[in-house]
Amino acid sequence: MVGTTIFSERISVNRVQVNEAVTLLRRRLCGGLNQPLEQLSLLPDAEVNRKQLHDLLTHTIVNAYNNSALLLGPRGCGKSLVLERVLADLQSTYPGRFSTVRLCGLLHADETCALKEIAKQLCMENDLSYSKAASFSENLQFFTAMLKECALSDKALVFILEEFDLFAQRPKQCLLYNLLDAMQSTTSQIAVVGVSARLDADQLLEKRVRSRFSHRKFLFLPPSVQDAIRLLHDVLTLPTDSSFQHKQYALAFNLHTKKLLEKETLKNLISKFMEVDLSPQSVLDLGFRALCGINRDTGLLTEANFKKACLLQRPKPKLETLKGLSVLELYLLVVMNRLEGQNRDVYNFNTIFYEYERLCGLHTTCDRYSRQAFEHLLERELIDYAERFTTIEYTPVKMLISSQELKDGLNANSLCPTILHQWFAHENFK
Amino acid sequence: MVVAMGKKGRDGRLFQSEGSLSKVMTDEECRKFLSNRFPGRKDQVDDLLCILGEPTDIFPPVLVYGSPATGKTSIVREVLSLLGRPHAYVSCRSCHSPRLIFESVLNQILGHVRSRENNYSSARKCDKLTDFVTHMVGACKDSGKLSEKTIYLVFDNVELIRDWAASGTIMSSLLKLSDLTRLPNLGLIFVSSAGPDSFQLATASREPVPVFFRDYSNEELYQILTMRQPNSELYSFFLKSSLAPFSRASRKLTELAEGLHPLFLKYCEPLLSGKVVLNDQGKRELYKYVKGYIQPALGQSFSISEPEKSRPPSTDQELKSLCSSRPVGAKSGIGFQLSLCSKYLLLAAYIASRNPSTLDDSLFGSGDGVKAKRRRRSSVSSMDKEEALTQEKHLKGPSLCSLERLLAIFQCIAADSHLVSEKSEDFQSSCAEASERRMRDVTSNVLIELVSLSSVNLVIRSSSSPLEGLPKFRANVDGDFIHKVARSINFPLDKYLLHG
Repeated sequence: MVGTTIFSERISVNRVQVNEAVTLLRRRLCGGLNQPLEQLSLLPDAEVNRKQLHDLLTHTIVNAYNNSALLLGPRGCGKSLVLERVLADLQSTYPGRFSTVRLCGLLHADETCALKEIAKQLCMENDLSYSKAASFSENLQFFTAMLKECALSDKALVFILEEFDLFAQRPKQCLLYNLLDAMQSTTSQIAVVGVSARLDADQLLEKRVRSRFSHRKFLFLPPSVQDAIRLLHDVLTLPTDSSFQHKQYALAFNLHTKKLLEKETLKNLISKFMEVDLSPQSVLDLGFRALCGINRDTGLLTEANFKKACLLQRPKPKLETLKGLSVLELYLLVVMNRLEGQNRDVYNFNTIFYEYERLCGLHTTCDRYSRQAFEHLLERELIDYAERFTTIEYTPVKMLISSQELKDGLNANSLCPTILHQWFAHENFK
Repeated sequence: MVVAMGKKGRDGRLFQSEGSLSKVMTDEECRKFLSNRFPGRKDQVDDLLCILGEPTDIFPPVLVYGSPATGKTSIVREVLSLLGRPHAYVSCRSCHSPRLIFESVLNQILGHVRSRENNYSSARKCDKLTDFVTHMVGACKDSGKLSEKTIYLVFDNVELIRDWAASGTIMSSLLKLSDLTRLPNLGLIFVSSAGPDSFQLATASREPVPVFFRDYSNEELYQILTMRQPNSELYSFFLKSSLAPFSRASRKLTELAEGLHPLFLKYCEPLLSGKVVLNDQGKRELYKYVKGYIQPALGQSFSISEPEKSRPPSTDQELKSLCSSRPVGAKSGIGFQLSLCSKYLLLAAYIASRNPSTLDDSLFGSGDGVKAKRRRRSSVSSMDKEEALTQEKHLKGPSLCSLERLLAIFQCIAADSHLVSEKSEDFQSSCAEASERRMRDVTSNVLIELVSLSSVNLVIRSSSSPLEGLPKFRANVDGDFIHKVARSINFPLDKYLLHG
């Protein structure tokens, strides 16, 4: 039992409580779509979109009005979350009035695959037996027949196309055409909702497909830093109702987290973190990493947790790789950098080794250790073949790091000899 | 004792169901055990354990990356098996296509073993990602693992996926596997030697959480290398003298171990023969003794003189064979058979891609013979410049040459050498006739030879665009090799080369 003092109030915390809290928060942070939907609060923008999408789909279900819409926005901004939530809402309001068919561009971009999947899901929904051996045309017939049947029995079909851009990148866009064309007829009652991370997804559509698409787009934009911090705060708040048993600890934890997230230094840290990637997903990942480092004894998040998480989440792979290089490998890189400085755009192992020998004042035949070092550089992807031909020593290579990166790397590498710094800094120094 | 090279020989261990391990460690025990076993990896082990959490915890996809031989695979697998978590392990090196990956994962989850009884077939057949996702859901249900407990999938060497066809889709689908299958309890771990920045993920993917395995520092290398030896005390003395120079060249653990081994045998020699006793005095003697061998073992990478000649020939050869990475066949001869025509073709290609085409006239033209014309140079500086230029050109390697030029040179050298070799005999005229005939049907048989040479990559055919016309060729052999070829048919190659 360890005591934690908050506002001079002593609360006892034990490991069981902390572990339970961490498990619960982890579930929220990385559960994504697979968690109970009511728990995560929505961003303001997303809330607006949710209402509109809800109205749109209600229209289809209640008034048999065929609709199509696209949910567009960068990855991790809550498109699928909103969609799932709307569907769950509708399911509880109009049970049995509609069924959903889910397709994913990664899996079902191919028409044959997609139709099979549609047939399979429709069969499952309506307790029909599904035949794996059914051909494309049979499936298509089944599909059109089902559309009519559903419309007659006043049942709507909602098609969800995730990774919509991948469907649109298929030649002829056969599936999209068939779906959107079915929408035009009065004997069907369907809605098509596309989800894509490409903002120009609707521009990818062919003319005949585009003319059938209703051009309703919902944009999901990344939130502002304040909103993101608020989201993080909401997610990192323990419930104080019956779903979490240790009420006192929850209160203490929430108070502490609130104070922590209001700190100016932490706000700066997070806004800096978000300069690279604005999506809420990345902020949640940051929260996850911070939560992983939580001290299980005190059970409270600290600023140090977030600082460490920032470093872990945004590594500098090239610099780290440069740090671990051996001296010989550094020599080769510096020589390459010098060659680039001399405007020699093409260089291969022989040129590099010749230059290296010239600089060192050595005269040796090409030995296997330099070859190995050269191959290590290739392996670590600091250099790469410019074109592929002949034996390794003649293949032209190019550097994959800038000279600034190399400079930082030389400074960071503890083994780097001083002469190398000079070689790097002064072009004519020998 | 396997410390950091646990990869070998452990592929294909089966999916472990919970409780099959005799003892499951707790987090703390595991942390302690692994930090001892893998020196310098405490942070990474901590990090992994934190991310994995409880057996029922889920986590975002994790990318474990770092240079080769830094213990990524070993640690990930050790952690999972020590904690007794059910996991499937697939290496993209041995499973070199999506189908193999999918089937291997399913086999491990279903506990299916490919054997003679089932004709080495997999539990489920799946070619496509779609099938995999369907089967995956089914498999998790079948084996009763759709409980709360997380199922861990470890994909090793994922950097190789980048070279596959449709790599973007495969990588992003694997990253999103938990969303695609709607199985919340999938724990995805990717092990790669390339960093997160090198995966050009399409828009359809989620950023994995990175875990970086940094390179070992010199002290850590020292610890690991000592740990692997039975006689660690002696080895640590040995390392004190030899690790520093070796690690200047390469810091890859596997290579260091391999390179240091022959040297250690040398180091032990005086001890075994009883010349030196292991005390302070003896250590110093040993130190001095082994010092002389370090530089040669490094292949003169940091020295100017060639100490190899001063040493006795027996050790010389021994060390050479131990240190040499080249196959032995390359030393003794060319190692395989080539037809005479192919040899001439190869020589012609080599000459053509080595010499500038302006030189051809003076080399093969009538009258002048082999002697190149000497031009007057205006000044020393321009000579230097020209020298530098030719030097650079030489370093750049063989250049492309057109088919016509290659064939023309081939005819010249083939005809030349026939005259030379058979001059003493009386059939000069008939021979000339023969070579005459040979020139005529050069296009049929010789071209076939050329095609077979390029199919074994001795001559490389550059991708020809329809605008450029005939394809271009270049010789893909190094100097040693071509000289061996020339020697085998007594061809005076040096006469034809501008730079020896």
